[in-house]
Amino acid sequence: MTDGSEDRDADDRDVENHAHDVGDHDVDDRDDALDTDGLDVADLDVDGLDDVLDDDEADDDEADRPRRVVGLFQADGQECVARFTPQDVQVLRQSMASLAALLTGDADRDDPVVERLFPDVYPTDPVQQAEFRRLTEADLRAGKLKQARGVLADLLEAGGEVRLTPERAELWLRALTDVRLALGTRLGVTDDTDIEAEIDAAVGRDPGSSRVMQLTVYLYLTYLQESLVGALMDREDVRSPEQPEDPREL
Amino acid sequence: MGDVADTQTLPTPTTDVAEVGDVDRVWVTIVWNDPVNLMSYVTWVFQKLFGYSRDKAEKLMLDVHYKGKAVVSSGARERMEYDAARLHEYGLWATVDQQ
Repeated sequence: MTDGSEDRDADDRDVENHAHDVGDHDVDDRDDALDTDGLDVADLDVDGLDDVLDDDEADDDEADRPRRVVGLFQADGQECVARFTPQDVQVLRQSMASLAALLTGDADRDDPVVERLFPDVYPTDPVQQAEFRRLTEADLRAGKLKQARGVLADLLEAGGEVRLTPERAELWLRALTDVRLALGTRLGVTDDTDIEAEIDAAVGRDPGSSRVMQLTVYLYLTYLQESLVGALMDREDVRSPEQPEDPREL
Repeated sequence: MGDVADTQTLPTPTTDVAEVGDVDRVWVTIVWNDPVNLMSYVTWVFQKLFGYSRDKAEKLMLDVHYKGKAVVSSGARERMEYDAARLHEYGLWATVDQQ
């Protein structure tokens, strides 16, 4: 597992809010967002990520520009709220669209991403595993697809500010998990991986490489998910504890 | 220990021990460590799906993180398959086994 809250203060990257870029992004184009054919995580190439990467440089050169922290979630009453830049929205849209494309395509059992999203419940019993898969996989796939499309729909509806009910926040958490699992698996993330060091190394090799983009997106999604878990728990902490539907002890 | 008396006899098993063991062994859902999922998220999932307290969910999460895996629920086999399927919905890596 990973602790996304580590060094959080140092890593809340300030990014310029390029108001003039708004028109460059078709954030309201529903057809575009839902047309997931052909997209792949490996092709992720997002306008504005240079801003995320070069924030230190930007600080030096353009200190007077208005800026804000990259869009993260906070609790607001019972809701979880984030204000996203067009770049954030673009990153989220492409990530969710890539996930949706993966889920709607033919499942390749040899693909480690598919293996991770649909793990074996009986890894040492192929017969039982096949039966379990036959009974559950279609529903699991449909659920994951619905989540990814749900996030896309929320982004289209909301534009910059996203307000999530607790139920919606849970859907986002699951979708963000799937995207991070897919991207993390593709990137070869292990328990020992230091994402920031990986980004530095990748930038050193080729600042324009797709690996730099993917690592940066992965890091952002990690902070975004951490912020959403935190916002949801903050919200729940102020309420009387919910009675679980089915309390069980080990 | 003294000498075992020749006359002392142990009860002879009349049934296949392994078979009885299989029946008696309880089914469990195991969550395995992975390098992507957030510690906070995993804790939240355990609270959400099983109704565990924050303390208990955190302890299980830390077991997963440091020991590589943890038994998160136990009971009837069908129930464990349901739990594992739910955990997969939340992106955790879960398997079902007998212990």
